[in-house]
Amino acid sequence: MKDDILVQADTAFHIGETLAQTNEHWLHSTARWIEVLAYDHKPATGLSPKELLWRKNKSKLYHYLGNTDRKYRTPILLIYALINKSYVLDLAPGFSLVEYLVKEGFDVYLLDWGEFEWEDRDLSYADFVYDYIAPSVKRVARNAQSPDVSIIGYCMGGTMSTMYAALFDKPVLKNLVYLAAPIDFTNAGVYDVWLKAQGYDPDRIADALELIPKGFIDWGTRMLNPMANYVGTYTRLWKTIEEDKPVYFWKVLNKWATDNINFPGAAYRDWIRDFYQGNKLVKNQVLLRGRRVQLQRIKANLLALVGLRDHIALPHQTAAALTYLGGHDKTYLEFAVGHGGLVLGETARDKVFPTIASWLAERSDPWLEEE
Amino acid sequence: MEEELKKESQPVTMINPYKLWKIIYFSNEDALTAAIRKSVTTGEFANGIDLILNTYLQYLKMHNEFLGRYMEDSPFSSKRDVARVAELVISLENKIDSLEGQFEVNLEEIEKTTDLISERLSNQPETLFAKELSQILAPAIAAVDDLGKRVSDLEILIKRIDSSLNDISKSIKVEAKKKTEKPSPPKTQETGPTLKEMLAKRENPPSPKVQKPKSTSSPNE
Repeated sequence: MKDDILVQADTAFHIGETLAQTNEHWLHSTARWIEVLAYDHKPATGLSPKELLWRKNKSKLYHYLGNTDRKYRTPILLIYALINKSYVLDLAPGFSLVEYLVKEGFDVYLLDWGEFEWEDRDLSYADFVYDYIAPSVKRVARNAQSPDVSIIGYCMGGTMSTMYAALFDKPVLKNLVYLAAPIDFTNAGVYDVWLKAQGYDPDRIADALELIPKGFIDWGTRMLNPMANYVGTYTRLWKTIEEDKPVYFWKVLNKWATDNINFPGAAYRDWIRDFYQGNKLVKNQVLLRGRRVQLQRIKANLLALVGLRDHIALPHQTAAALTYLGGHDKTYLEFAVGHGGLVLGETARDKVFPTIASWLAERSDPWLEEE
Repeated sequence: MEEELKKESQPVTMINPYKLWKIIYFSNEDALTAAIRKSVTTGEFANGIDLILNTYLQYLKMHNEFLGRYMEDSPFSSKRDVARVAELVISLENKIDSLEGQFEVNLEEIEKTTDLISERLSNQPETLFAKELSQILAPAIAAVDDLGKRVSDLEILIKRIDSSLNDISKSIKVEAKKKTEKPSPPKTQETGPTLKEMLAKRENPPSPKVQKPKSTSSPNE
């Protein structure tokens, strides 16, 4: 550290030269920094080869294709949250959960919610579970020629998968994987303070806004850690450039982080009132189209993965699934990452993806060639 | 000047202000992040934000209501109108989707049934199947055989009748020749019609004769 700060030279002239070089380097770095922020094109994402299996409204069900021979009959359906976009699960070659699973011989599917518009403002969780997730699971099972499926739910996608799993028996849900999925909302960290404040009324928000604008959702997420999200992200980029490190991954990550979608008002109302304020999921009080969501009904094998530095879905919120779900085979693992770190970055690539793949491999039926 | 500076032989050390600034900034950023984060997690912050939010929402609702009323009378379509059309399209799409789903289910059921039938048929031993079939068809085959015999009997009978008819017609011709050569003897007994004539009559029955009332004053009588 000391060596970095001090400049040592034989003459004052050389010191001046070094300082001038550093100054020039900084100027170049700053120019490049501005260029990246203002002019650089956004990198391509979601590049794994895929086919469209089914579409409904703006949502699409993708089937991923790979060169690797299929090893497992039980297909995997990835269900993403209603915040930001699902391509984070297939971010870039080498950093893609989808790509990894396909290479491991799994038959992989992804339910992409698309971008909600004004006409979707009345969509509720009941709609998502009954009209989107349930038909998707059926189609996945049929296409994969399998009586059972595995679901990987990321963040809110895990919560929605739980509701589906509690309500539907067929096709059989064999394995359920949570990636930072909140189940118990008893102590939700910062959200607990904000969303349970006296003046916070989700009905009023949903009533006035109807379709919750993406900016509102983005603001709520960024304000959880304002300094890091509004300033730190950009200073980190400058540092990366100044240290002559590649900026590709920063660009990819920033593209996803700023690529928000609108949130249907009805679903927003349910999410805050029933989950954060009422904590109805673990109390078995969630009613979807008149049917009660009972967590004990879920008999699937469970893998719950959490990030220890996650400030959106705190580890204990996901860990609660081990208590409330009805299966016998339950695994809980922690990683030293944040909310996004379970699907982004080197820890995800080197530790999380192999963990998911090996856990699923042990619990999936093999694919026989004659099938 | 360079030479003059070079003449100073003692090594010179000084702090690089750029690097110092960088280190200070990034080492403090974490502390600043933690401090700001702490401040946004307080109830006071949440209440303050809610106050601003609720004021904004009140304004927004009023604004939307006013705009909604204005757009009702406006010749332009509002976003609600566009959304209504989109909703119709989505519901139509849903209907098609549910039909497609039903169709797929039905098709699957048909495939399953067909598979089941073919499986059952393939499991049946061929000889057994043939036996069952022959048992089912036995009465029909017997009836057909009987019908065939009867037809052949009938054919023989028709041939015989035909040959006897030929004989009769020949003998009639001979008789007719004899009659032309000799004066015909007085008819002592009226002979009936020949078989051929009878058959011809059957095929072309004579038109029914209308009996006229007998009149004694007829000049032809």
